[in-house]
Amino acid sequence: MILKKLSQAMIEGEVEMGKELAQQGIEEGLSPQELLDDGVLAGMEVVGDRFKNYEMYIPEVLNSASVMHEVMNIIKPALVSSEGDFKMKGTVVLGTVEGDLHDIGKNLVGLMLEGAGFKVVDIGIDQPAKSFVDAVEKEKPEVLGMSALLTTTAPKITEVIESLKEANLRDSVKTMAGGAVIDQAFCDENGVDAYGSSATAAMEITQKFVEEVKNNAS
Amino acid sequence: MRTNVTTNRTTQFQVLSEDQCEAIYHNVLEVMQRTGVDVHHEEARNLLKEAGSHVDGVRVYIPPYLVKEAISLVPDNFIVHHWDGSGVLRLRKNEVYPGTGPSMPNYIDPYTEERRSFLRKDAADVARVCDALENIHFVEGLGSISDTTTELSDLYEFVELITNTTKPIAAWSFDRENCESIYKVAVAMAGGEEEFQRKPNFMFYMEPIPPLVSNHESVDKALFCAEKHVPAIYTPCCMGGGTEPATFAGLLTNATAECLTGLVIGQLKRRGAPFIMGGVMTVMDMLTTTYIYGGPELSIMCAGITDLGKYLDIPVFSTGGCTDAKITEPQAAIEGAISNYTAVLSGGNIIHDTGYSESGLTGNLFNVVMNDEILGMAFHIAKGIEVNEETMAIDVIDKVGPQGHYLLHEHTNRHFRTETWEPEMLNRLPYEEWKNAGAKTLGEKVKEKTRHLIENHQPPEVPESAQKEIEKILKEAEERVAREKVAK
Repeated sequence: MILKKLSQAMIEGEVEMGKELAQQGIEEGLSPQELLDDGVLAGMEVVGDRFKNYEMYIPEVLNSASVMHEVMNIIKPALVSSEGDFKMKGTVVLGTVEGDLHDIGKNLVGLMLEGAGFKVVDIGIDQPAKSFVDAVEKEKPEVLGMSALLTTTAPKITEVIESLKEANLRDSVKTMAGGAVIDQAFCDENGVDAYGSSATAAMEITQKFVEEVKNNAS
Repeated sequence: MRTNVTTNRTTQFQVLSEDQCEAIYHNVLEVMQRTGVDVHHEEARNLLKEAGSHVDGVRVYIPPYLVKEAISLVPDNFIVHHWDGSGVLRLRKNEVYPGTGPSMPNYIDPYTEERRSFLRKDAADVARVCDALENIHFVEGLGSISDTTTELSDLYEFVELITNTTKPIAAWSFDRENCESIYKVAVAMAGGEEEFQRKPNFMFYMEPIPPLVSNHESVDKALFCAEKHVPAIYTPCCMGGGTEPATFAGLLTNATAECLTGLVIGQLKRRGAPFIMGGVMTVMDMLTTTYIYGGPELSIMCAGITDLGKYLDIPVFSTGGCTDAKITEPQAAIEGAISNYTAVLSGGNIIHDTGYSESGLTGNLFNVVMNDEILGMAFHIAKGIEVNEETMAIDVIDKVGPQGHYLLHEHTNRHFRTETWEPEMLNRLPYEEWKNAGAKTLGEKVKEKTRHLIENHQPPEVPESAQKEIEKILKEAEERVAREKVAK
């Protein structure tokens, strides 16, 4: 019952109710992973579906995502005393390439991915290829997302791909790119695994890639 | 707080200044008195003569004081009701209500897309689809029915319209007899004459003939409407360069004189009879002689007659959503958009002719569905910009600062739904998603939605007593027409 109510609070973007329910769940002995999977993420899955069907708008989705943040802050400490760390769905490193200060598209992708239960490491804007490589080495993400808005900065995506190859990391990670000047043809020509035409597309691509990685592993 | 603030609650749009309206109005009074108007109706001429007009044959010279008196008597606002009480149209300055147009010979079949004759079932489809459309507020039939007794096609059309939508109908008829039958149907739907008098559920449309002629049938119907308190739409179809002066101001002068002739007659019959002036104001195409429905002349002059109506405090019948295009293609969208947008901004009350196509020869229900979306945009612009502490968001701007974003701010969540208009059919998907979703054009979506509404929108439930009464009215009308045929 608490889990169902918690997922409802996620869907409706009710911060206070979400926090109360999480607290109540812990007190009643539900495990943090249970609260995460069957409460938080179950709710966020509905949010994702509704967004895809044009039934919810982006600010509302993000509102649900911020409820998720708040709820996580409550259930994380309970974790310390139990199994260690959450099992998130997967990890994604995101960044805007060198010379490009555009932020909002990448941020939106990050927020949507977090909302869908992924760990997101955002390395920021105007990042040289080396930063992307370092982050991949350190975080070992399943997916790397690159953003570029300008015709002059799009070639930097190719540089990131080349640098990953040089560092022998190219096969360790799936890559996706997006932004106004990027399209499918660009990704095909430059060895990027997928083109994300929107935040929703980026989320779907990530889900697909992470599943592939898991299937290959098992 | 700030004091002494002036704000615009909505957009402001006006084509004629107070002085320009006055100049035209003074000339209208001169035309009516000096040039005179032809009134092909004996009772009306007698009323005008007794009230002080000079009458010579059918020509009537109406003195300014009669016009001024009529203007002072006509209601500057009144209400037309949905027959089931579910809504109202408030006809008063700047309240805008778009709707469809009447009586074209051809119709675009919503399935085969062929141009064919208009059928009785089409009138039912038109009303049902309009019933479902948010921005269509009153209904006209989009065609003249070809598969009933010819002399009664107007009556059958009205029956199909009013029983398939609760929205008020703007009706037309060939003559006074059919107008009376239509009135009886409306009374049946209202649940009795007393109920109808309190809550009229339709308006009646009649056309004087430019230049400056009020024909017998139109006056006959206008007198009946005045008597029964049915809101009368007295509306010339003006053709600049042909039946009216080629100049906009000249056309508006004649058009207003034609409208005000109907007004004076109606007010002489019954003081305070509800009346709507206006019309279709456009020019003749000097290459093809076509009566142009999609041109900018129509929009600017309908805005002009609207300004004149507002100046005189008389509700206005305006025009928009029409096109000269033959089928649903970009021309229909462009012309529909410009004319409806201008009409909404200028504040005409009853904005008719959405779905009019091929220069008034073909009804097109697809265009009605398309214009419903266009009107959504027009209304969103007409709402204007709200400026206050909350909407100027100065503290929010300060908090987010440079390089931040507003997506997560509660201010965004509070306002984006009302500040942002959401289309139903216009496409905003990224290219790939649009392609994967079938790469549909607006035209294709419009057709899908139209067919969906025809097949799925439930018409209102008509009370059994009204149904029986309507059957009786139709039977009596058929008998009357049969008798008249024998007599001939």
